[in-house]
Amino acid sequence: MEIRPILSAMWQNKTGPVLISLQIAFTLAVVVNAMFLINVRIEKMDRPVGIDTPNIYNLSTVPTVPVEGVRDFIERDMAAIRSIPGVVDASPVLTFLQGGSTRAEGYRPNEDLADANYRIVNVNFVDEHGLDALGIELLRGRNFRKDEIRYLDANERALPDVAILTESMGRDLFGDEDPLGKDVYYADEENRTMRVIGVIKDVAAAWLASDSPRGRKTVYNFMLQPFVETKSGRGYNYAIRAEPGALNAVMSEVEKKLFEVDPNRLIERTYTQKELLARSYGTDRAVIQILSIVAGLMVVITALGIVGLASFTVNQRTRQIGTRRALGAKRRDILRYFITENVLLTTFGVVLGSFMAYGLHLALFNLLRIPKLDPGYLPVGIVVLYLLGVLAVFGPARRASMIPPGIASRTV
Amino acid sequence: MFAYNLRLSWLSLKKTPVLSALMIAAIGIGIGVCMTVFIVYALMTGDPIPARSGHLYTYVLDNHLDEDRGPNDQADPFVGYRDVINLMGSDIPVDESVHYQSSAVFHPDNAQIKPFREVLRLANNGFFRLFEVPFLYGSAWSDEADTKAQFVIVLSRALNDKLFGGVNSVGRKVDVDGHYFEVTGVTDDFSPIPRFFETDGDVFDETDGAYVPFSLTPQLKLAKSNGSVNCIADSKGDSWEDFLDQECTWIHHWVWLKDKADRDRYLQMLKNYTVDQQQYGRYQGEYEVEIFNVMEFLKYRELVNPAYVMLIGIAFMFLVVCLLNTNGLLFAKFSGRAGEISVRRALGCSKKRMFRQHLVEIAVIGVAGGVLGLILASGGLLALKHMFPNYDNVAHLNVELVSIAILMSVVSTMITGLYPAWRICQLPPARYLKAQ
Repeated sequence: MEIRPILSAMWQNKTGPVLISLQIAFTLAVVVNAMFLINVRIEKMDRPVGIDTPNIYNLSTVPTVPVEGVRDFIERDMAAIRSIPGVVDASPVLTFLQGGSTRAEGYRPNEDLADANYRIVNVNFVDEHGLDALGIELLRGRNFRKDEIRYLDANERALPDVAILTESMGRDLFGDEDPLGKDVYYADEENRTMRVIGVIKDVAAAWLASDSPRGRKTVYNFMLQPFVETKSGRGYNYAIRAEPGALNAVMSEVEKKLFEVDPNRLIERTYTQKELLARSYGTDRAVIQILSIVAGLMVVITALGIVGLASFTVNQRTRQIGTRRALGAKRRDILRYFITENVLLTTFGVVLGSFMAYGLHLALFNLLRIPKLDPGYLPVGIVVLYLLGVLAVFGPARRASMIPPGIASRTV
Repeated sequence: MFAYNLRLSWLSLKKTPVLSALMIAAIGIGIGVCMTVFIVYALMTGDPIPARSGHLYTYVLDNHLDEDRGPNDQADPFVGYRDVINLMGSDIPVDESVHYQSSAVFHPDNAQIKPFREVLRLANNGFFRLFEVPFLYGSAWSDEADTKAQFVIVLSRALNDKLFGGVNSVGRKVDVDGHYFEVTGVTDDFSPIPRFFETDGDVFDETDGAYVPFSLTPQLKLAKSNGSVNCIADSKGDSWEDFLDQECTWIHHWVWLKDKADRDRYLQMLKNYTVDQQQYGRYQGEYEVEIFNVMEFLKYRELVNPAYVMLIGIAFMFLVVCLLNTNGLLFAKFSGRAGEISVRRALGCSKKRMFRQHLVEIAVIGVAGGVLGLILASGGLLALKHMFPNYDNVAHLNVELVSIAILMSVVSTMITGLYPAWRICQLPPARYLKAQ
């Protein structure tokens, strides 16, 4: 092979090759880490959220003229919404699911008041239609009965006797034991417990986008309680689930119907569940986009650098190439020379770049508390850079191979 | 001489259009990406109130109310109603502000506009002084309005536009939740980033629609919206009065302290207060008293997503790659010119003049790269506005940023170009003359 002469030629004129190798090293470090960070976020956004996101929408309504019986007001609304064709079901909720605002509470599996014993859980309220209205799958036990639903008075503290919780919440509280039928203790009410009557498939808590270790650990700690809030702080929140494909039609129909039931009202904060989820993941999506653009541009810049430098060397060496050709080198020998040269440069670059990628990863790990790098990204990055180098150098190298042997004699 | 060098640079750039374009593009993209990320970062981590951030303090009386703390695992820096009433009026601070965010339904007199909900902040008039809220018309309400809990209101510019078509509405009346309030002033646009005085809910979102006196809290019964209320449940009743009396934290209290000594005095006062309250059975067991100025507070609340720090690092690595790229291309360009340089050297041009000419050429590339970078950065900012609509009023280029971008571009290109320019001037002319 002709590696030795190539190396000695590079040694004669080291600045260019050193610069290209450094560029390749930096690019590898950034691209590998960017791929990893993007993937971490994509995986996070791909986690199941446990509700029928595409077919749910939420709204908040409040009477502009004070009403006597809030319970009647809400019940009339619910009856009207549920009667609309295309609506699967609807339920009043405490807060929109996975939409930013939260009620977080502490519960414990037994009477032990020790600090470590508390579990944090995202609590939401529904009536007996809640599971259907949200598309939540009941795994074991039963749904709330109509007679269990309480309409809370203003500022009344919600102390339910029964609750439905997710599998993960059950595991967090009781380990491998089945939580069904067990009693859950309040964090701060000594003698009150509630009984677990149903276990549902995991539903993501409102802090599903959190990157903190605690947030990540408790992402499926979610509980439903049989309440309807009647305090009109920011209106009454409803979750409405439509049949697949009927969401848009249902949305306008619901608004019309609600104004028919009571024209003196505001309907606000109308969000589809998809919008809420997208909002929760806003930062993640922005980071993915910025990282992809930066990593992509970096690859392009590096490729341009390789093209620029290779074209220049080809011009510089026109006479030498002519001479080699005149001495019997074939076109593909010239082509091979430049490609081999590039492969060598890339090799220097990726060796240095692998160390840098690891260093950058350690820095990110400390900064973002992200999981450890999957070593699988490094080979992918290396292959990408080799391909990129060969592609970038191919044009100039082909031009070099076209140099006619005669040129050597002509310019001497 | 300089003009001559400039002309030579122009000719030289034109001679190798592809290389020149590549260099300018590399620098431009590097600067553009760096600037975009830098602006976002400065926005997120900047001091929201530079003139005063060292003097404004808020505090935490952590009575371990929120055992079920949110995923951020730290005490919320809010104060309970009872404590705020007790602690307000201390003679240590120069000025102070208590406030919380709620929302209420506005009923315009104009029947064409349907009733609508607006963010309403209950605050004392110190709020406007402490946070330097600018006024378009009128002013904040009087101290008397605060002490006597009068029905007065300050509107935001946007709300004034909506209700009164933007005219000076001072003295007019507004119906909020069935109460008539008299307008004393209209604020101009006011959006410090981040909104450090309101770190509940979405700090980069939502602006206030209107302000009414905090002393109306017991009367108006407006619950806090878009933020947390941490309570220890007790057996008191369910009414609003019971709630205010309950062991809950939810109100923001900021004080303006002259100097470090006053800060220490205030902290001591808070500690004494909690000890004093123990006779009423409060602040038992372990509890913490902490005080923060604005920047300490932002750090405490972890308002800056570490993802942005990461982006800054990556953006600078990106600029390094672009500069390495330019460096390589400059080498290529200059050594392609060895013959020409040798001739000029042989004809008597000094190394120094040669060097200077190359530096001018590099500076021209730097300026061109900087301009391209700015164009790309404004494109980047547009894209960001698209991604985060609430950045609208803050992410824009100003003279300062434009100068920073051009300067950064020229300086970094010059540093990059020094070595190639120096190398090329060291060439022995004889060798290249021979080859001709």
